[in-house]
Amino acid sequence: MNKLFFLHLFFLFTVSAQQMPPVMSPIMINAMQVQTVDVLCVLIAPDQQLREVAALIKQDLEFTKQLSLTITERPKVMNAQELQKLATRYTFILFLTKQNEPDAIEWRLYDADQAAMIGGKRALYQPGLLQDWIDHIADQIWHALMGTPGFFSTKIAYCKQVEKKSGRCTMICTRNAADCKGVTEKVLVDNAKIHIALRWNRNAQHPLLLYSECTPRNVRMCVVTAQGQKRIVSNFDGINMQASYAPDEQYVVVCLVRNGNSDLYKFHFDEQQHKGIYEQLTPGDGSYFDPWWADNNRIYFSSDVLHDHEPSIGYLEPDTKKVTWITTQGFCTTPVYCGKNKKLAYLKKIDGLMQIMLFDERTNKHTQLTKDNSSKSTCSWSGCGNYLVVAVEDQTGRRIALCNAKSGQLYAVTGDNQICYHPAWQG
Amino acid sequence: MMVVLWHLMLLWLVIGYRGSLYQHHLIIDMLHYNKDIPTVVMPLIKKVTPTARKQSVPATPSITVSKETKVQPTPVQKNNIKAVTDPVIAAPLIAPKNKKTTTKEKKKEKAPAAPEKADKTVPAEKKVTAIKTAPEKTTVPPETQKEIPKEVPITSADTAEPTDAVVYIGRHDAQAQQLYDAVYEAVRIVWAPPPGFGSEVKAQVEIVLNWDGKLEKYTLLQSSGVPIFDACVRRDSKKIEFPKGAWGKTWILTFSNDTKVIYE
Repeated sequence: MNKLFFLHLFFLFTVSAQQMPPVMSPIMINAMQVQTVDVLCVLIAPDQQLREVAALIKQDLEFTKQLSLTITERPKVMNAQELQKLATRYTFILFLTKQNEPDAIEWRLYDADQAAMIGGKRALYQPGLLQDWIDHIADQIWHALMGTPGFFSTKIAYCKQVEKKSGRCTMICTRNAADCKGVTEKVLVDNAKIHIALRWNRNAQHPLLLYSECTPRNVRMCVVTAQGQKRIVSNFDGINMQASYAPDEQYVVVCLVRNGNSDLYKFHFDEQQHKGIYEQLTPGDGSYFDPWWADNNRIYFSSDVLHDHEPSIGYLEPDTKKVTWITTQGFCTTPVYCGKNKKLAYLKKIDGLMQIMLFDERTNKHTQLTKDNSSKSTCSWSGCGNYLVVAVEDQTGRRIALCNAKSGQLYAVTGDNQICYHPAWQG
Repeated sequence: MMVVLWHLMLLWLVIGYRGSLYQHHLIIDMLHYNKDIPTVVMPLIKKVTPTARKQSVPATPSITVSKETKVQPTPVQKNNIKAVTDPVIAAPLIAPKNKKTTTKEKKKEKAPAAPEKADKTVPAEKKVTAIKTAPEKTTVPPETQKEIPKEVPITSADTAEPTDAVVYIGRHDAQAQQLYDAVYEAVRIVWAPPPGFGSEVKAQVEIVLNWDGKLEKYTLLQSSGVPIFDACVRRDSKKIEFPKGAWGKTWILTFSNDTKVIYE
């Protein structure tokens, strides 16, 4: 009886303890290190073109140094068990298959651990430059991996300095955002003049690039289409520069410098009078420049009204012309706003170097994004709001680079043997 | 007699006993995981209630030892808390010597752990259980050290400032804290997210461990919105070697990408 009692006691003791509900313990873990994600790219029955395509896709996807692609070849698609065996080494498996009729590449992305497809599409061959087609496919894969649109096929415009017989001048070029080799580089303007202040319009279907051109008489504002058709849009005495479209594209804010005084003007075309009308927005008590008409219908600008020779960032309401200051201390210029993440990027002089700062409207906090030893001169947001294109100047020269808006990491786009500046990302 | 005892035991097992003799069930919360705040462990108390913790009032009086003076138990005063400005490392757990103390504690636990009540019921000298390890810079003369009992807290009264920053925790809280630290460290070693994501990217997962410490169930409670990030969380969750104390439990882990924060 006693034995039975103690046996029963022990049994209940153990069972009671093990059936206790487990404790939920929320713990927040911050990362100590980072690691690139390994992706195995499997080419199914490849030919030479597929190998070439895979190499270019690898080059695109590895641009941001977040992914590491290994290319291998297989006669057929793997089954689930084979995928899960690879999960110890690769996080994702990307299958590339070529289809001849119609001429297309089919890609399928699998989560190796779960052997589940997380994305896949057939990309029909686009006649033209191979790199453009590859960038289009890379955008699709990127979207499946990151959950945000890819940026590989988006265009950046920039000024490229060249030496000619007539002297030093700048060309205006465009290229795909992640094209380090310059395969997709296209010259839009090449007329032996100096060009500055590039700005895109808001229409993605009919992109226009506005820029300022230095002439012996003035600095005039011109516009060029993607096909290279050029037109003068503002030709006042002084400096005409930095046009920025309103969200509804009915108005444009421009910076006009006359008699040494720089002011912002709102421009619109009056169809009844058949002429453009300019309305002065700033009171003329100082220099106002770098206007940026943001998605929130505010016009951000730089101005030295508060401190001489030390511009500050502010914004004005185009209807009431009320000015609000965002920065009051430090040398701050070039505000550019992103409607996607509701952040304002601007440049601030810190320890003698211009660094990118971010201002979050929701929290009213300023954050220093870049902390490297190079100086930045112009910046522009990508359409997705995850990257900025900047002109970086250091001892090696001036080049265009992409900047990760979250980590501040810079990725060089143009080589150090070229002098490139004033970048603008097509939104 | 045996039958009565049997039934009493059964009644206790079903109703009263919650498995606490088999294993301590530790509730780990994030109320106290700020290492900058000095922590005082009170081994004779299982848990300090959150209200008492928030008020930062000690449930038991503490003894302050200065460089010059000898051990003098301070009188119990409600608003006379002398806190340590230097961060105090959580003291090692000292188990109660006799069972009588434990039963007394259990009685105390039933009542709310308000400091006033605790002070009235237990005499000050017996309740001195808080242990504070002295900061490295503080040097206590050897003579003073001899006279200090093992369970007496050592604080530098010279640098003490009247502040409410001290957190008093019980025995089980300390165990929970240690387990928390061990789990945190085990996860942190493994966790390596892809570069280029901001600190706002977070994923929360639920991990159920079996009694062998192996991953029994993995559930993504809150996705980060970035497929690649979620995949990395799952990849690294399988690599974690949890400490033995964490086995057989369910853990909720929030993986963040804030690489700027470095814990020592």
